[in-house]
Amino acid sequence: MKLSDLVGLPVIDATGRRVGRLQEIRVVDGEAAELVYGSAGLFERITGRAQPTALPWSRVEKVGGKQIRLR
Amino acid sequence: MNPLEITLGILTAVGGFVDISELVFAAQAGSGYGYALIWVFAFATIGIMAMGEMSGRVAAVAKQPVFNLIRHRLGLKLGLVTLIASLVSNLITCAAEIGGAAIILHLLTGAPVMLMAVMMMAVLIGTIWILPFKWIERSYGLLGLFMLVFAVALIKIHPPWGAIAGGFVPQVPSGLSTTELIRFAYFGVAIVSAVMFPYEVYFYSSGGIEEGWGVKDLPVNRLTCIVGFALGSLLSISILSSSAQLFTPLLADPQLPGTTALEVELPMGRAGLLLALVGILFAVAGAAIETCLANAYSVAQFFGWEWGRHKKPWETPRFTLAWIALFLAGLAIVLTGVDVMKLVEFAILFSVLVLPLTYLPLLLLASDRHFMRKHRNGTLANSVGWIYFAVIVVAALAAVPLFLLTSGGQT
Amino acid sequence: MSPRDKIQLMSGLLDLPILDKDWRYCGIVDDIEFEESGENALRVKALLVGPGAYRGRLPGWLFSIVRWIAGEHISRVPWDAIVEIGSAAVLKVSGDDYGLHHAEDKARRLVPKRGAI
Repeated sequence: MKLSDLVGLPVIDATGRRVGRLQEIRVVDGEAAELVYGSAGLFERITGRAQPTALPWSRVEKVGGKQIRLR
Repeated sequence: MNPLEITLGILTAVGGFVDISELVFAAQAGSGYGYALIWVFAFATIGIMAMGEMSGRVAAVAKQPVFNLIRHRLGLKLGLVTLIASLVSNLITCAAEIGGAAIILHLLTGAPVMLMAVMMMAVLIGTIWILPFKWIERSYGLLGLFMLVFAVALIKIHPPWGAIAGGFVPQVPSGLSTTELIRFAYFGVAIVSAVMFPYEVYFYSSGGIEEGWGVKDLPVNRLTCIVGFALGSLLSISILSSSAQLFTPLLADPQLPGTTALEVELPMGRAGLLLALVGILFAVAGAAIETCLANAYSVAQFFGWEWGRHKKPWETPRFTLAWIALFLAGLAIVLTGVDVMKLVEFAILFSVLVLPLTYLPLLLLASDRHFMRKHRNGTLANSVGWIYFAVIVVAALAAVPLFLLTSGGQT
Repeated sequence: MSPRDKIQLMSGLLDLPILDKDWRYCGIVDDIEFEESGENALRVKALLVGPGAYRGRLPGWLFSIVRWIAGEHISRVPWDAIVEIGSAAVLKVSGDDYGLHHAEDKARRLVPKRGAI
């Protein structure tokens, strides 16, 4: 699994609602510690206007091939 | 930086401003429309001043090469598309410059054009190989200053200065037929493209890193861009004005670069003609070097190779092979025998299509707080930058229809 | 920063230049590989360096162009080979250990070593 596979994947919350796309992963001592997602499209990402949300990685329930599910 | 260095920098920018496309279009604009297109030159020059200053500032502050930053900001796919588009556009431009220089050498020596193209290639490769970066740029830029004879020749023919000044006012000539109006618009787009060629920004920015610019060099960067490009633009405008005076009455269409040099022979005789041809030769050859290196910089920076002429050629082997291969590709295009004027037209067309892709990342980078800290774009730079971006997008959209409608400016 | 600190992968590690222990330039970070380290936990396994890292990220025809220009080699630099991450990722070993200089060295054989001022 590579970073390029994960970034841009839709992030789904516990109720099944899509809350954004994965934008950033922060690691501590090599371990994934936080994920950052934003509800931004291409334009917002390029111009840097995205309003991202950060969550601890422990909130991740499953990292699938097509999406990231939160608890 | 001491005053001598600053002066040399400005003079290099002046001598290096004109390339084969600006030369040809300045002369044709003058002969076709008199002084009516001067304002487009002035307008486009402000655009390249702003973009040049931004690209120099990004190099000095972020201290990272442009294409690295483009890849980081736009992502792999969009970054790669930008790379390939600019490679194609700059390669065609490079071929046009090599072809133009070969024609001038042919006029000076009488030797066959194709032979001169091959010889030119050898000399250019030798120049980049042997000389350190600063002197590569400087030697061709300073020798291009021989083109100042165009300005001298203009003064000698006592042109209507009032009419020339009037040309700086944005205008569209009255009484043009629809066909002529479309051709006028095509010339407008072509001049914007020729003055704001994408390779200039890549070359200038990477050159800043080659020379190790830092924050303390920001004022010099600004000065070089504003004064250097302004004077260079005035040189182009004097070529246009001479053409307007001399070629409209004669109805001689200055299609060939050699014909443009005749503007100088009429008032100044043989000596003037020779100086003009030599000046054009060095300016155009310098542009061939810049387009080729701009492409080599882009590829090397995108893929993370070692790059730069501040290192020896064998210390950056893939970069070295890249610029040699790119020169050979440009030469190959010229050797197919395609008309150099056609190459110029294609160079203009491809460049204006690529310009929005080139300038967007630059604008975003120059205003990025993370990379630029307190040196990011202020209100003025942002306003000018985005206004010109809008202009370029309009020009890019209009380019293909105008090109087709005028059969490449031939109607 | 040391690799033990909090590192932002997208904005602080991807595309970063890599230097080995002799301060030789080794390319830039083209992708980052993970391994699963427990339930839903991800651990950085290696940095991927080289145009081969783009395979699968680009449509086939676009990757063919990349392959033609830059080749398709790929090197893996293990996470624990990194000693510092800042304006570059610094390794504690030589780049040769991971084949990071291979392409450049191959090209070097074609370039004569004389004549430049």
